[in-house]
Amino acid sequence: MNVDTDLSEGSAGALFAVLADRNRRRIIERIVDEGPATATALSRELGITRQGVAKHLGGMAEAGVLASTRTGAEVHYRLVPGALEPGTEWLTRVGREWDLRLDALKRHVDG
Amino acid sequence: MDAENSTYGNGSEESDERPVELSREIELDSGPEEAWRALSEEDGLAAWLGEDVEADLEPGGAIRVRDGDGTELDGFIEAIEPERNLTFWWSARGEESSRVVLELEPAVAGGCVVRVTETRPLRALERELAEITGMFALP
Repeated sequence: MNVDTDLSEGSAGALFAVLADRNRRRIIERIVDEGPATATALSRELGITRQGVAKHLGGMAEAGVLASTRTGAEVHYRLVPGALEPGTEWLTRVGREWDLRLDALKRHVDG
Repeated sequence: MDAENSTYGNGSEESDERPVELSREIELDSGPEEAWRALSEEDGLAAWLGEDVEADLEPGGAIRVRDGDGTELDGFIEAIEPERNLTFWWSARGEESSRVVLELEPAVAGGCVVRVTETRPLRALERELAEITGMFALP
């Protein structure tokens, strides 16, 4: 999925496009769960290339979902309050719940 | 779905409605028959759907799931088709109901795919769309 075309600024569709990509969901979930993060930390923790993370962060910042703060040499990305409300917040939460349940299903059936 | 009494949206089928729909799937090495037991038996469901599951697995039957975080989800079975799908509605106390469709599909090499789709009722969807589009002042 191309970040440049999907996350056009200020459209409602951009919010859904943000969560249509698995790596963007993981980035958002990480920031929702543990607070602001740098591209380097996200890349390391999520196992996504630094370049890939930077591209997603840039796209989501343009879409108004994330905001950045520079502290010295570090740029921290945080969630813009309300940006993912209300439908997408539901998608994030329910999606995470089903990820866990389906993993448990696989362990139960295949294990 | 019952759109009566709705004060949201213009009721137009053609409007740019983006369904609030969550979909996930997972591939299992086991075949549909084995996977179906985990979907169609109370004990099977209890092994993965929640910490505790009580379900009367027939259309109209009640289902109650206690999640890992203590949330209790209550609802009923809409449909159950052996080795094909299990459809139910559930909601946490005070929240909108959502509809869950669990589908089973045979896959190559004897495995199967389990797909889940969770959607919210039309009225909530309309309200949310109104809020989202209002927030972004779309034309």
